Amino acid sequence: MPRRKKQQLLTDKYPQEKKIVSKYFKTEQNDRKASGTDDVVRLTTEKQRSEDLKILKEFDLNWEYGPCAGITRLERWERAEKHDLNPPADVKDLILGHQDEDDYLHCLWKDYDL
Amino acid sequence: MFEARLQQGGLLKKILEAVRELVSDGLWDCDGSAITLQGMDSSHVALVEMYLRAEAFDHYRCDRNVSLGMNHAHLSKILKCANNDDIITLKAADQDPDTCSLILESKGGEKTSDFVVNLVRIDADQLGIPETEYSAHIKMSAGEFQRICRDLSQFGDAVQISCSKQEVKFSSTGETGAANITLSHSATVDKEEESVTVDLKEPVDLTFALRFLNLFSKASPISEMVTLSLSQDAPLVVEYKIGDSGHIRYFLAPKIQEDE
Repeated sequence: MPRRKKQQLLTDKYPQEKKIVSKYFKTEQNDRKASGTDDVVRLTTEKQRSEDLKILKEFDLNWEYGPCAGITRLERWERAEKHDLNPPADVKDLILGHQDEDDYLHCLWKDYDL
Repeated sequence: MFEARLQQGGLLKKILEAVRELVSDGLWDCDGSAITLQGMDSSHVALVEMYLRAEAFDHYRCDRNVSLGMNHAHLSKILKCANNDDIITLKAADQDPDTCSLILESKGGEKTSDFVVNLVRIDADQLGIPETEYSAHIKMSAGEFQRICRDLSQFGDAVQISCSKQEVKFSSTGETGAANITLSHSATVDKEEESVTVDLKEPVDLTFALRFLNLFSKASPISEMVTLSLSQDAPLVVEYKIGDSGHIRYFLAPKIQEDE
């Protein structure tokens, strides 16, 4: 009786790299950047940012999740989570995704001594 | 623009025959120095890597890097129209090409055929193949390797390759019985194509699916000799040289003992 053998996959053996669809496309993108269209990119990130902050502000203003003075947004979110208040998951993602931006980390009233 | 003219069109036919059954669509990356193609079979068990330097062509021009997504079945239809001594020219535009032109000229110049291939979009991940030190290298006649794979396919669907003390044993076991073929190191033979070279650092013993080895041996017309490189638990490498100007390498993941 032949021994049963399992076929291994190449993808388990070799690292998979995202294929740059074409080196040509890459240079094209570089060219575009050089020609100044990256302003468009900056505008869209700016717009994204103001939308993010709007969501976070709504979270701050929602009394259900408890007071927000003296703690960070993440602490408030985690406290709400602990008390089974189901705080919105996208808020946590936004905070964790922007760890180096103060606007994302602290609540609306961080500059006021409450 | 991209333009490459190959005096011996038969080479392109042979290369395509060597890859088309393994990879149905392939991305032919052309840059200033070479054309490369890497493709994996749909089950992610085998991979082919073709590398053809610009020197293989008698005219080669590539102003900007282009990637040509080729449907190999379609390309094969065109190349079936070519004779082995036809001159084949590949042409593509620089800017985002969605077609590639092929021009076939008969040796005497009395007949010219031209074709346009619509390129296909390919979104495939590329595998990064690390530099590996292999425990064993076996160099043998490509025809002999093809024969061994074909013969053993009659007895089972896998081949066990075990390499020790200057000899290599190919075995296959199936419901009807077992078959073993042993080749001994014999580099002293005058004719290189009859010699078998076994360069061994450590003994190896691995099992591979014959179906893929049979597909790999479709590259036999490209080179007289084939080199198998093996290491325990690493994929097998089967390499055919394309003259002095490139290679086709196949990688195949081994079959391992099923965990009970």
